[in-house]
Amino acid sequence: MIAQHQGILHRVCRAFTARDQDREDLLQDILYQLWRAWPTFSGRSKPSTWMYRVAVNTAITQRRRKERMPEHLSLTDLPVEPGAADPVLGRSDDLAVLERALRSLSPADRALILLLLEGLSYQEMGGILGISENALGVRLTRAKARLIEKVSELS
Amino acid sequence: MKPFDDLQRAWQADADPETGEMTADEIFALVEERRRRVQRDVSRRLTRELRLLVILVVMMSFLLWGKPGWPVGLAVLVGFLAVFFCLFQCGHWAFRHASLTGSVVDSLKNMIAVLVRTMRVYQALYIGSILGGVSVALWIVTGSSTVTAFAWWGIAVGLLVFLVWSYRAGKRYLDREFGGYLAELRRTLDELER
Repeated sequence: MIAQHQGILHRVCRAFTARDQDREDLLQDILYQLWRAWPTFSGRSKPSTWMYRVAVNTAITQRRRKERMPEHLSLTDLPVEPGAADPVLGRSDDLAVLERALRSLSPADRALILLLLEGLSYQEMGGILGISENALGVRLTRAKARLIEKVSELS
Repeated sequence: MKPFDDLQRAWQADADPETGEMTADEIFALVEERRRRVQRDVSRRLTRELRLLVILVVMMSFLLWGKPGWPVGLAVLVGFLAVFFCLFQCGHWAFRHASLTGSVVDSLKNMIAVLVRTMRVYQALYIGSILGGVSVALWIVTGSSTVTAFAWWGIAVGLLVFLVWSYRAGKRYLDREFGGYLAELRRTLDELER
């Protein structure tokens, strides 16, 4: 199941971490949490929804611990010149800017925007985050506005 | 200004070129590596705390040796240290094993509750160990001599001042150690619930 949906994990890691080392560390943490939690998976929700939940929870609750550790900056932390492709990953300018804008948001906004970018329904997002669909609409509008503002600043 | 739909398309079109697909064996190897690292961290911590406790017991035995009622004193001390050790381990275990399978809001509430509980236990242990240390020192000093009622009053007031001081010092220490993380969890929860 994890192998089948692993794209989810990589994208959550990308949204929450900037450095390669942190990304690998978070990926390993999420995989470990999934492995530990697997016996409790009842099958009531879709496997992908359950994986989003564990992955986002791990990313949000473990972020601080990683940030406290001083580490060297990697090449992927370098700012991207407007109009240029990502120097290391060869990504499009749009995507590189989007990732940076996403990581500059608060963890709550980041989780909201990540799930929206992934194309999840409001019902699935509400289930993962634990908030009602009505409340979700309001928070998403605010988070989207903040993201677009950041993207404009970085572009 | 870029519309959100364009950003969503860019995000979804990307196929993780830098990571590639992991096989089931590679995934299991990563899980196994993390599991071993967690176990190593736990046993390292356990060894460090046990070593400290053994050193403390040996030191205190030398200090208490020959004082009136020293076997009882030593037994109380070892009991206190055992409770101290168990509570530390319980707090550590609860923190490491906090469930992350619920919704983000539930998990954040759970983590905050675990963290607050752990901080309270640390605070109680901090005060307990300082007062315990002072009591043992007093016992050693006063064990073989007579102390007047007036001196006992002085000691009681001193202990009270010490209690307040150790409470505040403990709180400052815990705020420094856990305060930032706790505040961040609360902020995230607040943002999601507001």
